[in-house]
Amino acid sequence: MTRDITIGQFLPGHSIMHRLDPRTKIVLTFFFIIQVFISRSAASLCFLIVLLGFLIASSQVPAGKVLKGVRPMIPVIVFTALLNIFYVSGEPVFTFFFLQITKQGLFTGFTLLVRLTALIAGCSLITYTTSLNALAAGLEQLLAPLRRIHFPVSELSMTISITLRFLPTLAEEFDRIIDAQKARGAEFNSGNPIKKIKSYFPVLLPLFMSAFRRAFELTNAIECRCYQGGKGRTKMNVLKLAPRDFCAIAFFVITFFLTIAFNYYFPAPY
Amino acid sequence: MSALIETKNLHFQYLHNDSQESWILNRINLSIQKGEFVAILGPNGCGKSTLAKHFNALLVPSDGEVLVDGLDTQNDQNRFDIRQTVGMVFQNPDNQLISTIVEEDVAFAPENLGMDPLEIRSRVEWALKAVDMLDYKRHTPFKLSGGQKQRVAIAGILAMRPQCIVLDEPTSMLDPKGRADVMRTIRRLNHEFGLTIVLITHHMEEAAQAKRVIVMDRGKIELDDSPENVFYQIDLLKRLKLDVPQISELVVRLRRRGIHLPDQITQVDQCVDALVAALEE
Repeated sequence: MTRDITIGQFLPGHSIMHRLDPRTKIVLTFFFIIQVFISRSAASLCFLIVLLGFLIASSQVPAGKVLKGVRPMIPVIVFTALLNIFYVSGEPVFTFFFLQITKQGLFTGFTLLVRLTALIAGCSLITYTTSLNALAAGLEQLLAPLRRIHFPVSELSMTISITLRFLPTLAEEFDRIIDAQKARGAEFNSGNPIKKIKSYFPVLLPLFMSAFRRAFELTNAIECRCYQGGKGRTKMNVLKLAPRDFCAIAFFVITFFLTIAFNYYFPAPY
Repeated sequence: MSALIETKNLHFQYLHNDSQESWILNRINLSIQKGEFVAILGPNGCGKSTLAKHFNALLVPSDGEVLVDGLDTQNDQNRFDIRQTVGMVFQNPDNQLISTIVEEDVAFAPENLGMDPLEIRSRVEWALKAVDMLDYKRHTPFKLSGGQKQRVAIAGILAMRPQCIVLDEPTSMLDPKGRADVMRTIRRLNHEFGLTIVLITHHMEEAAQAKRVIVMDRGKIELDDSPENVFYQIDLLKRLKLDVPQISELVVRLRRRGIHLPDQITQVDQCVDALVAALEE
């Protein structure tokens, strides 16, 4: 009955990427995104591919798995690339009625293909190497300064952590209700789409009722444990930056400047 | 010495329109001393859970008062201290655990109390050890059994270092093994740490482990005595549709047939000894 539900795609491990502080990883992911967008020349794109290869290797996540993660985005990537191929004006290489393909268009389209693939693959690495708990904790501490402007940071992280906690419980409940309704003769796999959607109402209603009941009980339990919002709350696990975090940041700063240098010394042909 | 929990003329009703006689709680006068192990028994809807919620200010009296360690639950400013003094564990362990990692869940209460990270860590280890779940501290509660989850929930309360734990039918959703483990933990907390225990239960065997049994019916206290005395009120227990423990029923029936058996037998081995002695006579 019990489903083993993993939310997200965290792969436990002990690579350097796994051991980095989640805050470092979040910040460096942003760094990487910027880097992808400033890689314009062929040389810096090659460098980007090398960097990505290095990152995947250091995360010890199988490369096939990372690329599989890109797969659902392929139509979007191809569409964007094609759009650029046909729309960028410049020196024509091929004309067919109103359609025109230019050298510039081909180049832009191809770079976009590489950049978008690298972007998605790179960003997926953080989700492969960081548990959702660690991500939430990292986000909470990164956002901590926002408390000054009365942004409810710890309430937000509490909400996220309770959501993560109860998703599997509710999923299990969902299965149980489906079984209970099937035992009463309900059918879920037949009929037209509208009928199918309708057949799920007798599942959703009990699910909501039970979620509310759980919420009331949870409220009592949380109140019993002296919860009164984020005020005066401390944390058992305080995130601490280790030397490896500073190394990683230094590494990214260097690659960042290298990318700029590649752009400058080997500029894009168009 | 003053009582840890004291109710004076406690009345409670969610809506105030009925006459006081039919309220959920009706004229409850009770005093629970430090270190006691009290069981509260009663049929469904008799108000025992409602009463328990008054012990740590989840509910406040409609009339009368509840004092916890001398603090009035009616006063909002006392609530934080009261909830630290009296912790509460509920029926469904799934609805009490808030984190996906055991030790983080146990750390929740001390974190709310604003403690130093090192102090939190030592309390978490201590609490998990007290319920015998230290080996599971990095596990996710989702993969634990019901009894293990309930023990983690107890540890989550213990980490506040309360003086009293109120348990509202903590074993009713557990299998026999989990039930035995949880009961052993509860007894241990009472013996080793001197914690005051208020156990709300349906099970006579569990109530038999307490030092004092309170029987409730329709918002009133019907009996308040040692388990030995309560279990021999067979007619009252039957009227309240509670299970009469097999042993006391056997002893009472044999006595009615003129066989001499001593009073106050609640445990199986006591009963066996008494029967052997009676047979030898």
